[in-house]
This record gives sequence, C-alpha cells and structure tokens, in this order.
Amino acid sequence: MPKLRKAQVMILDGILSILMAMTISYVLFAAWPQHTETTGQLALERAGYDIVNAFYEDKEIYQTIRKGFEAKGYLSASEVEYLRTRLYNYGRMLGVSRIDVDIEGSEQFSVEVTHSTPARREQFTLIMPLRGGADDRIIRVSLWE
Amino acid sequence: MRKGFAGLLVLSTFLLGFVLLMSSGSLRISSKGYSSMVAAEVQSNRLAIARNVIKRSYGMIDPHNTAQWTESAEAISRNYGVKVSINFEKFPAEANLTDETNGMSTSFLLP
Repeated sequence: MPKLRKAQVMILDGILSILMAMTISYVLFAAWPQHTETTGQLALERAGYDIVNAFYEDKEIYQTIRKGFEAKGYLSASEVEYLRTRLYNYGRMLGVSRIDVDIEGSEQFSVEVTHSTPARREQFTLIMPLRGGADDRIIRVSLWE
Repeated sequence: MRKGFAGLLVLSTFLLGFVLLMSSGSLRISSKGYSSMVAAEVQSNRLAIARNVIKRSYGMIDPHNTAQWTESAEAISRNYGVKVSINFEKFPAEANLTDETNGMSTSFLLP
C-alpha cells in the first residue's frame, strides 16, 4: 500500500465524514416524505365520509335538492348558489381546496374553497331518493386536496 | 500511522455500507407495511361510507320503491369497490357489503 501524505489523509477523512453524514441522514429522514403523502390521502377519505353525511344530515342541503327537483325537475341558479355557500363552509372546515358536485339531471358545479392548486382528487357517491324513492338521483362529490 | 488510518477507512466504509444496507432494508419493509396499512384503512373507510349511504337512503324510500333503490345501491357500491347483496325476505331487511379484494365484509340491518 502506498504511503499516504497529509493532504491525502485529509481528503479521505473528508470522504469518510460525508459517508457518515449521508448514512445518518438517510436512517433518520428517509421514511418521512412517504408518510406525509399517505396521511394526506387518509385526510381526504375522512373528509369524504363527512361530506357524504352532510348531504343527508344538513337539512338545508337536502331540502334544497329535494324541493328543486320535486317542484321543477331541476335546480335553479339561486338554489345552486345556496348549495355552493353551504358546501363552502363544509369544505373550509374539512380543509379541502375544491369541491365538485355532479347531480344527475343537473349541471355540475364547483366550489372553490382555497386559491391553492388542487393536487389530488377523491370521488364519493351517494343516493338521494326523491318522491319516496320513485326518483333516485346519484350524486357524485369530488374532493380536491 | 497512515497505514493504520487507511485500514480504518476501508473498515469504516464496509461497516457503513453494511449499516446502510440493513437500514434501507428495514425501511423498505416498514414503508411497505405502512402503505398496505393505509390502503386497508382507505378501503375500510370506503366500506363505511357505502354502508352509511345505503342505510340512510333506504330510510328515505317507500317500501314499494325498493327495486329501483336496489339498482342505485348496486351502482354506488361498485364505485366504492364493494359488492352489495340485500335480503328483503328477512324482516328487517339485511344488507351485506363485501370487499372481495381485501376480504373485508360488513352485514347490517336496514331501518
């Protein structure tokens, strides 16, 4: 083995330090980013459960949809605007950036909750029975993270 | 002294490589375990949502409209990746949701 000079020893010492730093960093921090991503996915799922419940539990939302379809067969612009206001509050509470609602027999509408760029979307569906179940409407709600 | 240092460096590098290999292996395993746990959690949540939708919407229909409602229930269950079977012969009617991918299932009585 050739004799090492002082400068070479210092270089090797530096390489060894970098290797050690890389190992320690990897062991400590490598798993974190994956966990953050999947936690976000779970948050969106939880929000989905709550938003689906809102369509049944929130009497204002349910009555607006029921009255609109049962009386006229469609949702008027003011009814859609009212639904948007109600859903905006849910979206803000659940921490989603946008909500898309697609009700059978009506035009799709969206609610912008925050101005951030939507990254991920999950869709949830529910049945809204009208006229005692003689006219079931399937509602598709998409939540954007 | 310098020879000793070079030997120590080689030994340390091998040791670090070994530690890195072992830790990356265990991290991969824990990461995989975490991902499958999240997937199961997501599917379990979907099953709960489908169950909730079926129970609540059934409570809003008249008894003579069950046929149309059953079709809607099957449609939404497909969207949640689960299969629904409803036994109207029992009283109260009994519903069963099965997630064939993960083997999860839930049975419940309709209101």
